[in-house]
Amino acid sequence: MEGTLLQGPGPHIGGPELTNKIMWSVVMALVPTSLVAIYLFGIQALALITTTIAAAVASEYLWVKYVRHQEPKADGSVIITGLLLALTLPPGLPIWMAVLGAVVAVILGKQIYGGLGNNPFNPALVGRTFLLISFPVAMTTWQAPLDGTTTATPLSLLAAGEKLPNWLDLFGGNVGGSLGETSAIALLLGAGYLLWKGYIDWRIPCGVLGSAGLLGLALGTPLTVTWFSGGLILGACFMATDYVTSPVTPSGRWIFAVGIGLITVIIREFGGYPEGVSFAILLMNAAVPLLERATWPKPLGVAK
Amino acid sequence: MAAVFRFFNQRPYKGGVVVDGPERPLSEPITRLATPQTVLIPLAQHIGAPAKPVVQPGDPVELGTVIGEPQGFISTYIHSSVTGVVKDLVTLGRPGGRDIPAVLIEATEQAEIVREQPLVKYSPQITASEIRTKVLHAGIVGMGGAGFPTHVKLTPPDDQPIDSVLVNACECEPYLSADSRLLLEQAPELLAGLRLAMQAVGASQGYIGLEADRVETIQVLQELLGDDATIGVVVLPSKYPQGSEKHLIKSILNRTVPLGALPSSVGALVQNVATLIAVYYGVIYDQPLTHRVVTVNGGAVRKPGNFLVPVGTAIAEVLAAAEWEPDAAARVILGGPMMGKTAPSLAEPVTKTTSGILALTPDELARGERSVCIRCGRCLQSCPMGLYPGYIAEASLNEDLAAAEKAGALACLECGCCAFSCPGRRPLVQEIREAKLKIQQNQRERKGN
Repeated sequence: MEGTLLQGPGPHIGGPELTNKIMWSVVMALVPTSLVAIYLFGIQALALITTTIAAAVASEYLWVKYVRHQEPKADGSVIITGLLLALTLPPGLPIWMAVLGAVVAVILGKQIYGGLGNNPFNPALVGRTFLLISFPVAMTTWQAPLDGTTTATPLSLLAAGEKLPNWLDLFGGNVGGSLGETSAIALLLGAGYLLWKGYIDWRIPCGVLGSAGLLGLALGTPLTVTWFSGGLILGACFMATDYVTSPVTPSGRWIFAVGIGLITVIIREFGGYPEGVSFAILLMNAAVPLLERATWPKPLGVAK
Repeated sequence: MAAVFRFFNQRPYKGGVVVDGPERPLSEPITRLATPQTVLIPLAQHIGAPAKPVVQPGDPVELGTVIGEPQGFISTYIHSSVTGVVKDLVTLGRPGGRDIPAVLIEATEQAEIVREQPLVKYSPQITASEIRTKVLHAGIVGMGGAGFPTHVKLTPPDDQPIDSVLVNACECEPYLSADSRLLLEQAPELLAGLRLAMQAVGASQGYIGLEADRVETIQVLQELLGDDATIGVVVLPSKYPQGSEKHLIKSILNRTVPLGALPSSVGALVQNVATLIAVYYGVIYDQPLTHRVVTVNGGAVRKPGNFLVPVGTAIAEVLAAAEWEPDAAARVILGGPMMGKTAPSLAEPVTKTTSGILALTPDELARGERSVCIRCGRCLQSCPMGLYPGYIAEASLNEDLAAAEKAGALACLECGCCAFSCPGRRPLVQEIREAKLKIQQNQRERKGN
């Protein structure tokens, strides 16, 4: 190597984290939830999960290659989008609708803004909201787990003033609902892994669940119902924690999380929809630039 | 018993990273490197004006002969590190027109540092100005890497009295152990140097800040200090950049140096271990700074260790002494792996500020694919200066200097915590440095007009 010493800027060593490692870990963290969904809802769930992921990956690949004329990267983020979208869908949704949702999520939710890192809204939720507005009936037709008969979700039971399933069924997932929202235990397993690895900020799930729980209690809803009866845990742990669409500042993350928790409960209690997690996250996504500006860090040594 | 403070939970600063490195060569004694055949001694090894050469080719010099004299207050003396003959006055090429003059000396004999009987036994009678004069004539500069002339630091402004002198014994960069080993071998000299520095600035209190894993060193210091209450040993968390001046002051004194101000503005002075030991020898023995301890380490080094090296020795010779494997090395770094610079060539001389020479293998270098910013916030959380490095780097790329300046670009220490923790492997420090240079240039131009 005489005379040809490699030059380069410091730091010369790098930390342990890499973008695609983080993304693939999030995918891994969603595996328990996906397996429970397939156990509860059978082949339909498997078909929805595989087709949304395939449609999302294909949309991103084609867009990056033929519209942006770049070499597509296997960073794993688009798999998260496809998988998360699938987990928010009702088990009986026609496959073609799910495919359409995935295309919208990736193209309108992410790529038109310039791809990874630039999208203001959570892409999976853009896809889901598109489907909910376009196909309101299909998106709110639920099946009972294991037997496939039509049923209601705990939250729609609640809105109709009917009796709820017991909390063990709520916690374990033996209730009606979207593919990935029914089993709290599977979601918490994955979220626990991400928290342990430091890949998601504990402030966000704590802020969402804490504020939603408190406001629910104040309005007379038990914690078990607020937390385990809808998509709150899925949203708090896997969607609100999306790096790209949440604030970078720690105090901004607190406000963001508390906002999501409060808006969710307000929509559930007073709004026209039984569930409000998706809208709450999308609304707070829109507030991210403002929150960051309000909580911009002060350099050390600057008068407070 | 000396006061040993444990500051684990007492207002540590925010940010910083935990850097895992290989084992530091700490257990083996410092090895004396044989006098090389030639030394190439730069006349600018310090911040400030280069020294003016006072020798000509053909002049005989001895170990310790002055070969460069200071030009101005912020400058210092340069001495020959060997006994021999001046061969040539040359220019060391540096990028950006910052070439520096240097003196090439051929060694004619193996000269060892000989310590005569102390000329002045350490005594409170020695005056502050005598200490400063001796430090200047010994050519002592901050040996941690910055190279700020020590006599200047020992001359605090009249309106900013200094009450505390802090010894940076953290050696927070991974791979390095030169200061830690020196402290272990020469703790009495360090304490004497610290007392001289305290005397020079009129400080009543001294502190030695070191990381928690130096149990042996802490015991040695405790025994030496006895019940001396004027010097405290402070155990700090092993976190990078614990040795940064501002962060050491924050951790030990809980004082925050205002942005753009010097430590003297909060009554503090920070010196590193090697510098204070040089102060001791410079003041008590009139011995100039001609040698320094260098850590040689890295995956491409078979026998890592600490070497006492004459200033001006080519790094190739020091690497050879540590049995490095040139073919296994991808980069050779002067200093630590976080803030060190890549060596331009193997002929590069060791200077007063070369704390380490690292030969790193491709496996040790930052690996992984570069990706776009995913806004994970790790740079912001790791920044010990409380900045949002990703934002400043983005502003720098977009040439939006106003935004970069407003976001505090000039406060950046270039410590590398942000780039180290970035999962997208973005060259954040480099981008921020570019913005800083342009902002500073604009400021100079504005002043000029």
